[in-house]
Amino acid sequence: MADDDPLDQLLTKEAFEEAKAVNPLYFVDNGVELMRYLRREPPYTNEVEYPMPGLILLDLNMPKMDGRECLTEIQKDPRLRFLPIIVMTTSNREEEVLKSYQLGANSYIAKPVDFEKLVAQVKAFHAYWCSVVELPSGKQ
Amino acid sequence: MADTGSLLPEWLDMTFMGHGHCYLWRSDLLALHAISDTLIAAAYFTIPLALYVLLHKRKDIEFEWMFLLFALFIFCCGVTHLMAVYNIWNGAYYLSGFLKALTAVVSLITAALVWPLIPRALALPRPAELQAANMGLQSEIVRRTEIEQNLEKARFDLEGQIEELTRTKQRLEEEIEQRRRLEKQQQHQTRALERSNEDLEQFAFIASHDLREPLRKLMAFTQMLMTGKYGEFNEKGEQFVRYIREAAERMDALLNSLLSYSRISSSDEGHGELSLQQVVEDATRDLQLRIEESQATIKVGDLCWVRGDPAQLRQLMQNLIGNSLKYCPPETPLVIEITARPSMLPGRCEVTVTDNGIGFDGAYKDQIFDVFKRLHGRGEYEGTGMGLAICRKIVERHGGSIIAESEEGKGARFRFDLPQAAGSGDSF
Repeated sequence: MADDDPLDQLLTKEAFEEAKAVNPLYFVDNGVELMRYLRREPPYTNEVEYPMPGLILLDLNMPKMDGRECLTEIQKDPRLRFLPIIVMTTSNREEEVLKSYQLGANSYIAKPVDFEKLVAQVKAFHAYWCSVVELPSGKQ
Repeated sequence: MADTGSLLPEWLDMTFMGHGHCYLWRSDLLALHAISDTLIAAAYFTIPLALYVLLHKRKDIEFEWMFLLFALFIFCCGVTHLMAVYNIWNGAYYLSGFLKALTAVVSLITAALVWPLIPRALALPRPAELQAANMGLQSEIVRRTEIEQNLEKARFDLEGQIEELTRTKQRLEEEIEQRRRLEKQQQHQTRALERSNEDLEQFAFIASHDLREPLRKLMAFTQMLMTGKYGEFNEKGEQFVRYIREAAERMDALLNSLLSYSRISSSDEGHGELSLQQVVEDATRDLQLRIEESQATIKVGDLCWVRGDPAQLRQLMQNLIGNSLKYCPPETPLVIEITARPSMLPGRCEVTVTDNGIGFDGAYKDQIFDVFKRLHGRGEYEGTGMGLAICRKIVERHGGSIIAESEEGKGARFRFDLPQAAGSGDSF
């Protein structure tokens, strides 16, 4: 998960626990870090410690490199293009939604203001992405 | 003629007899001839004098030389008659003959010159003609003077007009200048407006993310506190946590309505022709649950085809119907009536939404459209006070205006106008 807000990271983690979602969560603080992680650049060289994700939860508004730029970068990189990306952000502005899909996001989720709803959301997309859908193993 | 040595004695030969001999010295004949010739001569001498006086007085006389010639000729004739008187008693026939010859020469010359002069003299204008011409000229002068006066007057008028025109031109120039200034000002204002619009957009963007971010935390963490997983509160503490939550929820509602207000775009993009009937149907479908709850009846009359943004118009109708649903009458069943008719303004149609709800005090009929304006306490009716502000903005974005009429407890009526779809004419 790429999110610059530690409290959001915490909330997501809590929601994952509450939703009994067992898949491991890895956090990065901004787009630059995310790209480094995905490209195995230091400090993310260790494959065991930092495994290739099956799914990316991407916040749009982050310092250094925001979510839109990340989407563009990932789409440009043939080794990363397969990665499913779920945009999770505060804004529900139509322009943002449209832009994200145009840039190649697979889903767009507006973060709810309500923790209960967040938990429900995590449950739902966890059920979908981790049980219903086949994800690439990331071992290309 | 004895001595022919010189001619002179012959010239002045006085040996001839005078003419008196021929008259046999009869005194009556003598007198007749002498007096007649003398009178003729006298007359003949006065004529050149008269001619001279005439010429002297009339310097402009034509053929002056002819007059002189005549004077000379008559004078010569006079001399011959005088000679005839002299020769009654003397015999100076040579002298008289010589003088006669001189007179003959002068007469001949005069006669020869007078004939060719006739056509030229005839060609000279007669005094009457001259007078007529003169009169003509006089009247012409009068006419011309009049014309000149008229011209002068016209010139004066023209000068006045030119002055007037100059003044007008100056006024126009000033006006143009003023308009330029106004235009500049307007451009300035337009730019300022654009800037403020951009600021609003910017604000919408910030509000949609940055302002809601801390709000989400507030709500999420208070919620987590309320689960009891992180320790128990006493009654007061629980109440406080609930207050925090409610305040945050309210803030969220305010932000949302402010956002939807600032998002009402002003561009014509997406404007199309649509049936207002359809718009109302879509709006009521969204409100179906609330309509059923309050058991309201919605009467829709014949509505027009309008030109506008479908999403915005739908929101407009939804807000107005929602408003009626919210302020429904406590005792009687709610009836909402939606009608339309051609507006007094050309090319527009007037829509009216009437209900029999609780209404409001007419004094607030303008204020209710203000942003965040509420007439009721939060405990009585929910809402952020943005609904009607959004309605007004949407109507204004469609070039119209909206008014509200109501009395406390007597229901409310909202009236607004929208652009009629082209080609729909007055067909409803």
